[in-house]
Amino acid sequence: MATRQVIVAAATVESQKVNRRRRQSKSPLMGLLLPAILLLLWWLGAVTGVLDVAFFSTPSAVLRTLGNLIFSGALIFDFWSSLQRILTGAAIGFGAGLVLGGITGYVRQVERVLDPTIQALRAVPAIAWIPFLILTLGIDNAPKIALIAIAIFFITYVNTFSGVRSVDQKLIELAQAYRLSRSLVLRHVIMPAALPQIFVGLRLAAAIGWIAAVFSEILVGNNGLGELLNDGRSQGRPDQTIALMIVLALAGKCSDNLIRLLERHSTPWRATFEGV
Amino acid sequence: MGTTLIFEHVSKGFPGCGPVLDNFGVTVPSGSFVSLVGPTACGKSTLLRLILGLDQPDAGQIRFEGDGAGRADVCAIAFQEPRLLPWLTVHDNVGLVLDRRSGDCAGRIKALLDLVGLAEFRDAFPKVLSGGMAQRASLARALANEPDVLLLDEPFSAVDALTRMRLQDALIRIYMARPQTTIMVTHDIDEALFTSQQVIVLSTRPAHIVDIVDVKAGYPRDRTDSNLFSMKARILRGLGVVALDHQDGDGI
Repeated sequence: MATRQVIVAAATVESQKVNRRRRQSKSPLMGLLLPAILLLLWWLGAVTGVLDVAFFSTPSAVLRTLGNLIFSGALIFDFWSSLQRILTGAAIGFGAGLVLGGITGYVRQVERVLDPTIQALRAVPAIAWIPFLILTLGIDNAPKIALIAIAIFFITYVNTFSGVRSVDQKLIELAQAYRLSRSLVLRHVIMPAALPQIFVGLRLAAAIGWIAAVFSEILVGNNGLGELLNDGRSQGRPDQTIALMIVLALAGKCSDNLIRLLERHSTPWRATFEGV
Repeated sequence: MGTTLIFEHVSKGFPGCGPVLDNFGVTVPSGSFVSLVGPTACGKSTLLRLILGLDQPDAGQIRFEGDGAGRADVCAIAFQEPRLLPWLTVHDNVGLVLDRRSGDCAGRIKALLDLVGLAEFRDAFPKVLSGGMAQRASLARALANEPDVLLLDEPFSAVDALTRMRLQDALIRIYMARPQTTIMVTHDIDEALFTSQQVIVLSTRPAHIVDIVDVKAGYPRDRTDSNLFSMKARILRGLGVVALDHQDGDGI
């Protein structure tokens, strides 16, 4: 029987590997299909005059502008400015959301005290914080970082909280039956169980981080991608705004991919449906 | 040597479903292998939960007498479902509950995995294990700290018949190597007769003892032993409710 089980288990592992390989080898090309079609339609539209180039520009103009922005160093500088803000804001917001969401999820008493206030504050749209942040923190980096941190905090808080609360009661009971210490329960039962949901939060947080950064830079911009976008608008340059939208799309996709990669590496034990 | 378990006038009820145990009393002698059989939802698992301290009795008490009395890890349990932590390998699942003060942890885990025949799967995550393998890992975990009282809550009910027989053989082997007080809840009368020295037959809720059948045969036992068969008839008579029970879908 043991031999049979070894073979069966090996076969399972093997089939999972094959599945993964199949998915990995095909998906990048498949994913590029739709952008290629859109690009083609855009180009055709511009060439035939269906799309007004004054508003929609052309693929070649956008590519040229993108090249200019890169080689002049402007894009690198502003990209780095935005990225720094996002990373700083994310570190603050994600860290605070993780700690508070974790504690509130774990300790009912803390939930009763903190959660109503946090939920009420969460109802305030992130955008509505901007006037207050400008009044209190000025128009430099601080209000932008604060906005990113606030937006990310609430998403992380909610997801960490529900991650902690989603721990299987049977596993908690198991820990009680074996008299496991609180630190063991936290490290080996609750935290790993909450991890998948925390990753959901992190992916949403990354997306909202870019949104908050660009939005605050468009409103009060000294530098950053939002400022470049604003320039494009005020100078009537659709090629520049489209080029920056492409940069943002790529940056968002890259950060999401990074998080998914991290997720796959930190939760290799998951046995959930991965799609057909 | 060993730990004796004494139930004294234990009563327990749950809101909405009335009394589950009413003035329940029995003594499980140190080192004996006792099975509890009874109709579904008659309070067998509640007894185990009370022993573990996961629930508290409304009245009465459960006393531990002997070496293990007062020790926190006197009991260990293998639940009906394996309840392995999905994010830990087989090795780490067993290691998690292992008392860190007991010295050579790595050696102990290896010995346990050898015992249940999972040495090759020490680094596997639970998701790749079959039901029987997961149940063996759960058994290894239950044995990790050499408990004085081993509790088994229908541990083999979710595996196929052949695997179940093999697991029962393994359980007997383990018990013979170190006869700790063992209490097994089961629906399977054959399983109870094959493994236990005493079969306690319980009634429907609130559970009381209908019959106590002593099985004198030594280990390992012969599954085709006619004496066991006559005891099975006695237990079935004691249950009385078996036919009714099957109508309720028990055993499906």
